[in-house]
Amino acid sequence: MYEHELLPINHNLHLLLGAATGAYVTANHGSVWASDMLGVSARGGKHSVFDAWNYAGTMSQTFPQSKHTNDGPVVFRVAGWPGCFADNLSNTNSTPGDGDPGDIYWIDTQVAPPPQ
Amino acid sequence: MKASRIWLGLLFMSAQTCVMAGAPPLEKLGQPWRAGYTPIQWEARIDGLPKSATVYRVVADSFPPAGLRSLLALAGLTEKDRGRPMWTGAQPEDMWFTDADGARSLAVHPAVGYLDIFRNGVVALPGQRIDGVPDWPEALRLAEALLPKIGVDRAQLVQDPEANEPRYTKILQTMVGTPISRQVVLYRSFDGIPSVGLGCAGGVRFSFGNNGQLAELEMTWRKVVPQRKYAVATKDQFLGYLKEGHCVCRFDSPSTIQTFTVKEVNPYYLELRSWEPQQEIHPVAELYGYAQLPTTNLPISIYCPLLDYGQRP
Repeated sequence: MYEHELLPINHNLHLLLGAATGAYVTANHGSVWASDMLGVSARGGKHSVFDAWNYAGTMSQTFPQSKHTNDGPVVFRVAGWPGCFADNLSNTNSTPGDGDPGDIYWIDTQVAPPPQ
Repeated sequence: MKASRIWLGLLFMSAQTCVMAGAPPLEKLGQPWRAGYTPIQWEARIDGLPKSATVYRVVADSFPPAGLRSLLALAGLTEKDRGRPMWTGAQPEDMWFTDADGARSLAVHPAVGYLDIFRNGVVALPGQRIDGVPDWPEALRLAEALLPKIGVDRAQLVQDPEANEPRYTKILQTMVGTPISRQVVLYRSFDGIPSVGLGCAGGVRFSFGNNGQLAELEMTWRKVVPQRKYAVATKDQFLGYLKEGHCVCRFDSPSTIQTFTVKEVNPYYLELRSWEPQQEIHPVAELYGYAQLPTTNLPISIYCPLLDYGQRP
């Protein structure tokens, strides 16, 4: 999609949050994401939308790390305009993008480890 | 006659409850195992297992183990930065420190043995320079150098005997394919038995960004004291756990398994994640083997208690 300039990201979209691999449906992902942005998660402090997304991943995509585990890895991907990766709930970039898809970045965060 | 039967029944039920009381919370590790119906073949050796193992009781005192001053220094904060914990379910003993602009923080939850140090701006974002992100050996070296500052003895860590270093999990973060941070997760061991490492529970996650600086350190490491020692289960008891359903399975459709061949039995301790209260930490056994499905074979792990809770050594 990126190479063919067919990303579903227009110049008004700040960030597109998702996963680059399969991810597990969990009960706590949404609540941890929200609470981390609001500053009421276990680690405290108000975190950016991007950072809270990944933190919620590390808190929700968890499985045993035995020597034979065959789960994971799970990689979260966030794509968007450069100035929006620091967006938080009370302070967002007012001019997200310039419309040039070449300026779009993406960051992959492995939120759950691979087999050992 | 009828009354005595009822009493005997109640006594039996109570004895059964005692046997399984305080058993490990296996439901955290997988799906309920279909009890009784699946033929089991046993090809595992268990002579390498310990003869007995200890159940540990969690105590809330003396956390953080390295003392607060060391953690504050690591976070780049001082006692003057202390604030009021705002997180959900904050306890009176919880501690929270942050600087004026919220770029650095330290959260400490003694009751669950959890702490988090966060330093914003260390990991490059789009438009910022990526510089000096450590490679894996360097990230491990940096993590090991920080252990004394958080009060963790290297001897408490799970070791990789082949590499002669702590066993660690690598977690990578990339921006358009270029590494911007490397995370190292180290796991604790109890009497040489590794923590199963559910999330970062029973371990420490170090994240390093530009120039090898610490971006985040998250630790769930409950303080424990020995509670009781029990004999490790025998082969027949492991088979009994499978038959009676005191097991969970790392497979979504256990009812489709036609036979299960146990190839290995591996011991672990099950420490829960930071938001899950835990009074005791129990060992569990991973029964690793091959499940025969209608069309294929699949390696899976089944978890059950490691111990015979009716047998003291």
